Amino acid sequence: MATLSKILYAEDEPDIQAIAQMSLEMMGGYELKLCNNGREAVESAVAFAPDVILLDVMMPEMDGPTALKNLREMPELNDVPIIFMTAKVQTQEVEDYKALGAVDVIAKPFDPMTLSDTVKSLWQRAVY
Amino acid sequence: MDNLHMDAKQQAFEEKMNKMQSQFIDGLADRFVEIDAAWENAQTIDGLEEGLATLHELIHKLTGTAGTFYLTEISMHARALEILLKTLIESAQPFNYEAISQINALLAEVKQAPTLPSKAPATHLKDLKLKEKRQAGEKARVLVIDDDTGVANSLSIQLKYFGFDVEAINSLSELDQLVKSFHPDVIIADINFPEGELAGIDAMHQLTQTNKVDIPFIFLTSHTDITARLQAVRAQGKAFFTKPVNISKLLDKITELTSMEEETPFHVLVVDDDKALVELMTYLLNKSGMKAKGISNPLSILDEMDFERPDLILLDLHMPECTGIEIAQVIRQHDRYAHIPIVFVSAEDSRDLQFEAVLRGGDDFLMKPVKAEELIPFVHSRAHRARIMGSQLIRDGLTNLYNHTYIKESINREMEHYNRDHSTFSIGMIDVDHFKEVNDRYGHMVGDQVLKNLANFLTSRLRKTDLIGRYGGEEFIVLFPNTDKLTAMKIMQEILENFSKVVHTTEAQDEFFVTFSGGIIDCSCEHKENLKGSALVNLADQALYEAKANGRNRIELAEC
Repeated sequence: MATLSKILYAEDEPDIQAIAQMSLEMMGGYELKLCNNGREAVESAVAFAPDVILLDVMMPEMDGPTALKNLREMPELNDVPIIFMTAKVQTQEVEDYKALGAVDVIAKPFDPMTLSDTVKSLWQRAVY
Repeated sequence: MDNLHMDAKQQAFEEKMNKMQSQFIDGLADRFVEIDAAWENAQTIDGLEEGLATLHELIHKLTGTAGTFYLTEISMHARALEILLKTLIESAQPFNYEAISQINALLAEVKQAPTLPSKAPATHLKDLKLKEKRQAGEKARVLVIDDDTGVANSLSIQLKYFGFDVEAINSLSELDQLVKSFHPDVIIADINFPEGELAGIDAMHQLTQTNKVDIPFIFLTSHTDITARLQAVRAQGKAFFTKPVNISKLLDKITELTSMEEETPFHVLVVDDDKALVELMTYLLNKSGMKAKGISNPLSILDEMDFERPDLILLDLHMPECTGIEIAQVIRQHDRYAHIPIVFVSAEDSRDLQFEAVLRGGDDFLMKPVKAEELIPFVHSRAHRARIMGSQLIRDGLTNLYNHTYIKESINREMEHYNRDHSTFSIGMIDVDHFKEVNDRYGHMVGDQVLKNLANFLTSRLRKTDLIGRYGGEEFIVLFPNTDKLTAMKIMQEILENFSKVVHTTEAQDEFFVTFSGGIIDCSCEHKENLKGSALVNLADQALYEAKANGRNRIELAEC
C-alpha cells in the first residue's frame, strides 16, 4: 500500500515557501523539496521521486501549466498526482486545470493549519 | 489551562508563524515602494505594458502571502485589484482616466487595510476546538429533559416529526455529559425534579455559568406561579411554556432560537460595458457573501432577469448601446420589477444627471471609482431593505409562505429554466383534508393554527431550494427544482406520514390529527417546447382531485 511521505512544491515567493515548509514538514511530518520555479521542478522531480507534486501557477522562467505538461511526459512520474496551487477556483477554471492533467487545485491563500491534511486527502483520492 | 494540553508541536508552529507574520508586516512598506514604482512606470507611454504586468505580478504575490498570514483585509483588497488588472490586461480595454482612477482607489484601500491579523493563529486553534458549529443543512439539535418519561418521550417524538434531532433524558445528573456529547442547539427543560421544585432552573443557571458555549433554553412546566416565572427570568431562560405544550408555539420559539431561517444571499445583477469593472464588482460582492452576476451587454438584461430575479441591480450610466437611464425605464415597464432597487454607478458627478436618473426609475447613485468599503455595505443595506419591503408583497400574511401570485410566477420562471436547459423540476399540490370540519368543530383560530403548523412543517422538512406557496385557503403548492416526480413523491409521502402524527391542540386541550391529499407532476410529462407553467399546475390539480376521490390522506402521481 502506497504511503505519502515526499512532497515536491514549486513556488517562487519565499514567504510562502517558508510557511509551506513549516506546515508540511513541522505539522505534517513529510519530506519536502522546494523549487523556485517550474524549470527547477521539472529538473529535479525524477531524482527526488515525490509521492505528490504541488505547483504554483504564476512563476518566472517556467509557469505551472508548462511545468505540468513537461512532468506529465515523464513515465517515471506516471503515478504521481499533481496539484495546482492557485487563487482561481471557479468551477470552470478548475475543470480547465484538470483537463491539463492536474488531479485537483488547492485554493490560495491556503490555511497553513490544514494544508497537510488537504494534501493528504487529495493524494488519497487520486491514488485509491 | 489550554496551553498545557496543546501539542508541543502546535505551539512551536504557532510561535514560528507569529514571528514570520511580524516580519511580513514589517516588510510591507518595502513591498509598497516596489508596487508604487511599477505603477508609476505603467502610467508612462513606454512603460505601460511592462509596468502593468509587473504591477499585476506584485499584487498577485501580495494577495497570496497576506492571505496565508491571516491578513484577510489586505488580501481581499489586493485580490480585487489583481482581478481588475488581469481583466484590463487581457481584454485590452482602453487605459483611460477612469481606469487609472479606479486603480488608485484600490491601491489606497490595499495600503490602508489594517495590519492586525483578523485571526491571529493562536486563537484560531482555540476556536476550532471549542466551537462545534452547525453546518448548513444539518438538523438542529434539541435536548429535552423531564423526569416525567411520558412527557419527555411524546415531546421528543413530536419534535422529530418536525425534523429536529432530539435526545431526551429524565435526570439532571445526565445533563452535563449529554451537553458535551450531543452539543444541543437548544435545551427544553422541566423545572420540577426530585432534587427540588425549582431544580431545573438551578441546573440551567449552573450550566450557563460553567459552559463557555451559550446554549439557549426553554422551560416547560406545570408550575404557573409567579415565583417560578421570576426564577426562570433570573436564570435567563428564553421562554416559559406551560404543559400541555402548544407544539406550534414551541416550534416558533425553537426556530427563532436556533436561527434556522438563515437569510438567503442577495442576488445582485451588475451591468456595465467595462468588463474589468464588472469583474471587480462581482468579485467584491461575491466575497462578501452575496451572489453577484455580471453582464457587459445591457441588451441582454431582460433575459437575465427572467432567468434569475435579482434583489438589486447595479447599472452603469454610460454605455454604447443605450444609457443606464433608458435601461432603468425599460425595467420599470414591468410591474413585477417595480420594487427592485436600481443603483446607478457612474463617474458622473453632475447633480442634474443624478437627479434625472432618480426621476426615471433609479433609486440611488454610487460614484466611481468603486471602493470595497463603500460598495459592499451600500449594496447590502439597500438589498436588505428591498427584501423586507418586497417580502410583504410576495408572502402570505398568515403562514409566511409565498403568496399565490409569487409562487405562480416562480413556476413560470422555473419553466423558462426548463425550456432553456431541460433541468427537470416537480410541482406538488396539496390540500388539507376535511379542513372545513376542523373550522366548524374547533373554530377558525384553531384552523389558522393548523395551517401555520403545516406551513412550519413543510418549511422544516423540505430543502432550502424548494419553494413553498400558499395557493388558496387550505391549498399549498411546492416547487421542487432539479427533482423528478418520483423523488418528489417520496419526499411528500414521508412528509404526509409524519405530519399525520402531529398532535394539534386547542385551548380546551382537545387533541386531534390532520392529514392532507396531494398531486405530484414533473415537467417531463409534456413533450413539447415552450410549455406554460399553468398547464402543469392544472395537471397537478387533477392528480390532487384523484387523491381526494381515492379516499384522501394520500398522494397521487399525475398521469402523462
